[in-house]
Amino acid sequence: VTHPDNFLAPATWADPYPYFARLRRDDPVSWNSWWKGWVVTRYDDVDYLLRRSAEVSAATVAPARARATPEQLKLREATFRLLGSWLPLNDPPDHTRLRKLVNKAFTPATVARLEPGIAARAGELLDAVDGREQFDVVRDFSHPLTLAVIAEMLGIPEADRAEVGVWGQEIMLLVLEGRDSSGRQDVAERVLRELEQYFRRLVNQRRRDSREDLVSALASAEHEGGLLSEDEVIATCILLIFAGQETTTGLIANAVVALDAHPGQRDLLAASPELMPGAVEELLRYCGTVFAITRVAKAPFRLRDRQISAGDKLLLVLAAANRDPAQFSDPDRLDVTRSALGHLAFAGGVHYCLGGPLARVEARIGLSQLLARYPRLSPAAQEINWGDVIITREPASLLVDAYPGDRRHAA
Amino acid sequence: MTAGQAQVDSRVCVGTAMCRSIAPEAFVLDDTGRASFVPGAGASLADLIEAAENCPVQAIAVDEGGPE
Repeated sequence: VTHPDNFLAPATWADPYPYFARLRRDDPVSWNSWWKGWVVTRYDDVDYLLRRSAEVSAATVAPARARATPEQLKLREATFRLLGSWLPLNDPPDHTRLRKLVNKAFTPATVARLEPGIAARAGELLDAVDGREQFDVVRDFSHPLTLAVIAEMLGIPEADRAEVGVWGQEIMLLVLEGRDSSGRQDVAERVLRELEQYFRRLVNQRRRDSREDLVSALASAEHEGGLLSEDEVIATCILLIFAGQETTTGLIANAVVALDAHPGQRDLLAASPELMPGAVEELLRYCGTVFAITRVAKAPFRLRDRQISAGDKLLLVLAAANRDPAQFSDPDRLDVTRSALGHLAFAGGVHYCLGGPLARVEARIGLSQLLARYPRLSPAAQEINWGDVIITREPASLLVDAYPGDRRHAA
Repeated sequence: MTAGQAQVDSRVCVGTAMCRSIAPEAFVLDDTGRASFVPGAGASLADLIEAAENCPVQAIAVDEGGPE
């Protein structure tokens, strides 16, 4: 029997918006007895908590480590050690120190210089499926695109990229808090160790032979600047290869699904490509990949009529905040011409998504090229598998008909 | 480099506090975490430009001073 508070149950997760809309209306700071924490769904509350790093902590690894048995600590040694150094799982001042070192590589101005390369790669990937009746938006397009971009930025040699990409995906299950399954955690722990070994070799190589890439920059910040430890360098590399592909891959796929459900908006966008930058913001609001993020209360505080205790877990449901009618009019309608300014798809405050500017560029280029070639692109199956992790909601694969209803293209 | 002037667009600011970490004397955060510029605090133009370039949402405009 499925627990009534388990929103990952397939029936709820297939379309979780009504469930969270009810919470947002009736119980905006809701105790969830399945997740064992508070679920926060109103825009004002989520926005407020994102900015209060004094009251709520992003360092969710330390409490998990504190609860772990000695045996678990041994089995999950790499997980606790490496994830404990991840930017999104740290508070200031460590967070500030680490972020300053990588921030410049992801600013809008830096990312703008990558645009021609991203566009060329997107074109190559679409050329490779040219003429096919069906292709997979995730496996043939959005995943190889985002993986190539972040691997290039990091400086991962071409020959290693496929393997590193698979590793990066396998730790998703661990990082994004899915259903409990020790088998999955075992895989993630093993893969983290593989990634650690891989990046330790690459970092050592770059220390001897520095290049114009992020691994070299991090290696020299560690080696010459003493600004971070070698474990922090490795952890940051793993974070970037993971987060750099995961979220934007999902955004492009989610956008294809959302536009298919709103054919008028899809046609408008195909006919007016100049709307794409605003459309990407609206798609981030409507179906951004990061569904919710977790926090831990540092001290007791009140939120609405609820008393939050120190150590309580909080789930900030970005997707529910982004559809709060108090913030966005007619929020369940996708409208690519609206101003979605203020959406929380990239969170906010000090943890505002480092890769946000890159995600915007990749989504704009990726969706523009998809729609230019396939203006009526449509998912081939009725049922989409939205995965079973809490933090992101995205399909692991998305088969599409390139020319739905058009028999001239039939083989 | 001489001191400069800057402005933060509060509608665009998302509160990453990168500006404050780079030029702590030149930027303050209000209780919602949003930044504003402190005129006359004496931050160097180089620091202000660095802060503006590090803003992920480009909320900071720096007056670099014209030739007039």
